[in-house]
Amino acid sequence: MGATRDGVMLFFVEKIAWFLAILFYVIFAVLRPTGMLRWGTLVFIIYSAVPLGFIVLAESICLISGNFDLSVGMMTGFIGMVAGVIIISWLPDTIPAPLTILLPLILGLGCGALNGSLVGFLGLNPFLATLGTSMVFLGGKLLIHPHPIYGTDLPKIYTMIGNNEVISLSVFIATLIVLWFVLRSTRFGAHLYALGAGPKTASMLGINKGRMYFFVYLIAGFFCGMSALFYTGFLFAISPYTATEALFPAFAAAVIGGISLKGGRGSVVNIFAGLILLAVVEAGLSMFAVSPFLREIVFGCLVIAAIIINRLRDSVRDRILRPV
Amino acid sequence: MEKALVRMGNIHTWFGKVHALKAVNIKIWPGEIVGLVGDNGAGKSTLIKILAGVIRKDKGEIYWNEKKVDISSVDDSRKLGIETLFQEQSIIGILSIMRNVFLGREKVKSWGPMKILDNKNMGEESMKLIGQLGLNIASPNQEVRFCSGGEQQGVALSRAMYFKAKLVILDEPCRALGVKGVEQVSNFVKELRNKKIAVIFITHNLYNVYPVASRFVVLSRGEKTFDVQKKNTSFNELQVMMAKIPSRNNLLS
Repeated sequence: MGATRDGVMLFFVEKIAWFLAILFYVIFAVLRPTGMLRWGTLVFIIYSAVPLGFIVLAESICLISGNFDLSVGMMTGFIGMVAGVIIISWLPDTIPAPLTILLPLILGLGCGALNGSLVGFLGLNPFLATLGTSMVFLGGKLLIHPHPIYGTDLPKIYTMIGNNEVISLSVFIATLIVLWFVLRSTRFGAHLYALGAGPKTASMLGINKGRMYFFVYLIAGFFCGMSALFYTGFLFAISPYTATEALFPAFAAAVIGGISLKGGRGSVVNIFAGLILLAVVEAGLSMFAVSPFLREIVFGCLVIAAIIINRLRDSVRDRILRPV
Repeated sequence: MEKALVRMGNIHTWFGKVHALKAVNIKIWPGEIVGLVGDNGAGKSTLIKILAGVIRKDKGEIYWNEKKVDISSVDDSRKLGIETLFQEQSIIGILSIMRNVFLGREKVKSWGPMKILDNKNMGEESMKLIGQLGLNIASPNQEVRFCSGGEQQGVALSRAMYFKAKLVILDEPCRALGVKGVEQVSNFVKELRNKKIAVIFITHNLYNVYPVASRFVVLSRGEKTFDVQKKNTSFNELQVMMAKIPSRNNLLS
């Protein structure tokens, strides 16, 4: 009897982000049933979270490995702008339109390799190194092209991917499934969690820390490249300010999804819940036309609440899992 | 004559100006349990860290089965068959027992063109190892931080058993353990002896190692001062030797 109750309790605390997301949705649905209850609204809430979602995945994988990436937002903006400038003015009409899609992804791998080399191979502090590259990305972007590029100037296929709900959602969900599988069932995933939880022990047991960190940042860069592509389509434009403020929500979604800043913990399923929760709150607040200042306050409180909830969850979890 | 498993000859190490190891020679025979004892700062940990590939020696040679080897990383050391348990850093608390046992050497199975973790196999193997060490743990998925100190050492040791190590280095395995934990560690060492795995047991507390070791090596201020079979010495003599400072360093004499 006690065992089943513990089982239910454990399930509840492990999946708390999902319950909170549903709770917020229900609250908003009760307050404004006409808007919130429509299927289209629900799909749009998730669709609008896709570009940020890739940044959340980038940040999450860094956090699980026990690192930080403060450059995810600026990097995404930089990639989007550089890709746009390459397409419209540096190499106009040279790259076949379908291949332009690869451009942000390649740039993402490049930016990720930069962060990865600094942290993985030179052993720099991830906090400071990515703060540095973040400034480089911001300045670089504004130096290259401080004005918006409009969707109409870009190849149709380039903007279509992020502009289409079905394509966006299927690509994002496929990415989630692949990442879920990799973290859960491959050696790479096992080593990632081990490095995050005990970097010294893991490297003494033969896991190559520098190389793993490099790959972590490389993947994070790739996700930022994906995000840049989806932002461009979603906004149907490349703004110099795209994703410049994405760092905070990226951390927020990861933390709400139960990722520990100490590393070694976190699951893709819960990270997705954190993202959905954030998107639901965002949609609810826009529906009530809440002041942007109040919005900031709400998000700030949400993150602090998430940290407290995480701590409670850990203590409940420990109490249940500790063998008698 | 039987070949020595490991022979470290004329090992020197400097940490800046500190001469941490001075011309240390040590031999380990297959399957023997050696107590490496000495006061804090005697150079015990430094010596075995060289063997484990964590730090590099400045001078000297290492022979494995009488073949000269160059150990420059933990990986090199493991490939020879040396498994090292470092003080309190041999396990990762929030990972499961199974993940700890197979850390860095996870078992995989083919799944189409991919290799995926074989959790079932790793779980079964870890339970077998835990059982052999006489530990009573219900599930291989239990997080190691919920295990007692002695059990945690057991989890780390089962790696050596599974991967068929030839030599296990225990660096202060009884630190922070209670009476029961110390007894468990002794049992683990006996289990390793039954499996003909050589053990270097490092401690500054002779009580922990005296009952299980068959030979003792005493280090003091970076020098080997005593190397004796258990049958030719006594607990008291060893204690006296551990407290002794190498004569030419002793300004009072």
